[in-house]
Amino acid sequence: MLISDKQLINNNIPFLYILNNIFYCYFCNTVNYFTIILYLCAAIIIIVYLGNSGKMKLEEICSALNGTVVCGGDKTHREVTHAFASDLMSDVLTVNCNKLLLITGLANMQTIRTAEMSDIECILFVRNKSVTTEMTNLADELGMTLITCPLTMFRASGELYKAGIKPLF
Amino acid sequence: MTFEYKVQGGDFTHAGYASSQVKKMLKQLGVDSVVIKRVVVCLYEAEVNIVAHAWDGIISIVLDTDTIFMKLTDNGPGIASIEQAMQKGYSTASPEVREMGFGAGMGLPNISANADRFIITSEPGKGTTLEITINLNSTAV
Repeated sequence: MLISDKQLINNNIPFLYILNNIFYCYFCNTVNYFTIILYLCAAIIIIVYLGNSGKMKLEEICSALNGTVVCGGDKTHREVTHAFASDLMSDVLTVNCNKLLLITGLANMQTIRTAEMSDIECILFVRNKSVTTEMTNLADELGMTLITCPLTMFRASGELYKAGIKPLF
Repeated sequence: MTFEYKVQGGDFTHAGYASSQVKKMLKQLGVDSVVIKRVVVCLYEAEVNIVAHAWDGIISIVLDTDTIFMKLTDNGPGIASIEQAMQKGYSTASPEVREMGFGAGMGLPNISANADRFIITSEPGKGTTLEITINLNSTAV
């Protein structure tokens, strides 16, 4: 036992009294270093888990959505924290966020250009949209990753939301 | 520094080329990324407007140490009511333009929201001119 409750109360140290109760082990009815270490480990695990939740690597997104990387396969270690789903490029131009994934069913050169102007590094094309060579050439030049997946925009957004990817608003 | 780009109406494949070049140049000059974003959003929306609505146009960029001034002049049908065109959601875009992801009446309001100074003049039947100024040393919209 580190210090008794009685001692703490007698010495008028409420803070230590609270700590003593936090680290109290109900199995051995005492407070010991093992309990403290155990609780600290649990706290570290929770902090690490919370730190990692809400972001996904592009390769994880790809496997979660049964997607295919069509361009920028060497950059799938990149992480995204937020996603924005739209077929309307003017709407995409209003968003302002780093580590953003654009989910769209619009597959043309202007999708790539819009992503470039919005500093978006990864585009997920839903509904099995085909990406042209012109698009992949431009995306390659800009260092973007393009992924296609067979899911609908609603389903893909739902899966990513469930996995912890955050909406912009 | 002064630059000029020609824009062809209806050419959606190359729409955004001028904006892309300006973005690269501002990056090389070390301009703040928030300011670059505002510049390219204005320029790209305006460039797409020329491609979507006009027959052809010219983009002139004047860059000095404090500001970037962009003038976009097009030969096209012009705008009958600028007041109406500035309203969010108002658009006269064709179905082809909408298929490209534009024409939802967000372009001019987007430009207005990002520019420090925005002047639009138009003569129906002749064309439209946009004058956009952005201070390079300020990030506030």
